[in-house]
Amino acid sequence: MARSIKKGPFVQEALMKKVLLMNSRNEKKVMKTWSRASTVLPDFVGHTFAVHNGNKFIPVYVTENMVGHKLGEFAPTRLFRGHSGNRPTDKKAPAPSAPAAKGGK
Amino acid sequence: MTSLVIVGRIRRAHGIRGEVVVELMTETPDAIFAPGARLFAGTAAGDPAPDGAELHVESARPFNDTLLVSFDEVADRTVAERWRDRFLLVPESEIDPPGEDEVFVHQLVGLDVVHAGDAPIGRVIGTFEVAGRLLLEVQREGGTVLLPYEDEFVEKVDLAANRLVMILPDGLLE
Repeated sequence: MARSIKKGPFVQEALMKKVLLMNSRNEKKVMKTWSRASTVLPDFVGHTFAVHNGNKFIPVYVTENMVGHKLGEFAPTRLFRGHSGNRPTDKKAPAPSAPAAKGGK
Repeated sequence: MTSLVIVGRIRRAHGIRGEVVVELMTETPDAIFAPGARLFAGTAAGDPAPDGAELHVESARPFNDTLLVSFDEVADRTVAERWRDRFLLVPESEIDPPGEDEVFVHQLVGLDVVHAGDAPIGRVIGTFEVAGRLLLEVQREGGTVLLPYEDEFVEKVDLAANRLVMILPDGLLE
């Protein structure tokens, strides 16, 4: 059964406080959290969370298309390296070759 | 001979006409599995088969997030069963090379990760694809750390110098 609209999306109170504090200070620090059930709100976009998967913290950089999902969805409890391991496959990743102005620290 | 790159893995046989379910490990499946295309057989460990066996695609059609492929050399289910868990490879020269601002994911393994300002972080020892995002497993003194491979944090990939320059937010390495 879906959560009541009256209550709004669930976000752990302490986590919400941290995000709002950082937003007010315009800071970008990694926030460790065990609250996998917290919903990603628009306020979270651009922040990085270290979400615990029961074993270790998985870094999750929040983008707009994650809003409405739970943090736990982005930190799987099993990390599958893939059948091919580190063997060469036809998969590509973006790679800037020249430094550009970025966010981060 | 040019080096071979993995483009798929045969999961299992499908039906009785020799079709197999292929898990894709390529971004251009339409070209790689086009009818008539030649693929090299690999072992279940991902290495090229010692006998250099080749397979020729007869037809391919989408099946959930995989492909159902029939090969000229695989006539029925009995033969298809023997191919279970084996990899399919093509020469690196036959696949689209990475664009100007792209690298193959496997090329990231072994790079030295440095924080902008030349502070060393560690060496990439593996990659994970998590929820459609790439994570780097980086070996540091005293253990490993996972770093998100996001445009936001990647400053520069320098394959020639074997370096990956990143700008990481505070707290990620703790």
